[in-house]
Amino acid sequence: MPSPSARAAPVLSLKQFMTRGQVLALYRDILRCTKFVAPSDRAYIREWARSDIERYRHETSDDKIRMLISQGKVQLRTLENSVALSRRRFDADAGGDTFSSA
Amino acid sequence: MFCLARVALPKLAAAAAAAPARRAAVSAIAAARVSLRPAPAASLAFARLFSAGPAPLTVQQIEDRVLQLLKDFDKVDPSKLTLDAHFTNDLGLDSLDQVEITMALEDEFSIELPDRDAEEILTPRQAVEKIFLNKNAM
Repeated sequence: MPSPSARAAPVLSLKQFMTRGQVLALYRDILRCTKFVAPSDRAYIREWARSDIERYRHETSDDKIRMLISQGKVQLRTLENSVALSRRRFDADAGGDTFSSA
Repeated sequence: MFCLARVALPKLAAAAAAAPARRAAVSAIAAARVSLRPAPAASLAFARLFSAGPAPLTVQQIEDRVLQLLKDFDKVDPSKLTLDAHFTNDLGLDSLDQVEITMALEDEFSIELPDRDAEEILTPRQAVEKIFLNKNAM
């Protein structure tokens, strides 16, 4: 049974700490975005996001991590766009033509 | 003259009928005005019912719901769960779990926590504090 101190995370440099914060902020933004997707897809997208981040959990190269973060941000933007599109279509279907003046 | 009288009489009768009716109406209005001014305490409660929304959450209610939410989280060992159980040190959760938990708390209480508040939540008690201070919590 590992002692509590052995389980403790290694001390990070300030830059590493900031980068880690960016990853967590990205994960939080993705989860926020998935609040608006269909419930049937929500769990799948969250699982996928989590496993994608977990895959590089032990990555130490600062450049690689930053590249992964920008890739993640692109994927988040794609997700946000498709959510916005489907919401607009849903609103249009529910409330009639959004562009009609009547 | 007969017909004049016939015309006049109904008018007089109407006037006579109207007078008591008017008097009754006036006294009814006065009575209504009086009844519209109820005792101050009663009117405050009445006003609160329709304008203030649901009653604010008590700390006990928030604590119960936070602990229940964590119990439902499968990575959490319920036997180790207390109000001061630290997510990382005591419950063995990682930072991604912490993000998931704060997101679930936001959903549960219908609030949005700013990032810097969310990342400070490392025990259930801290979650309760942040939620209690958020006036939109329900």
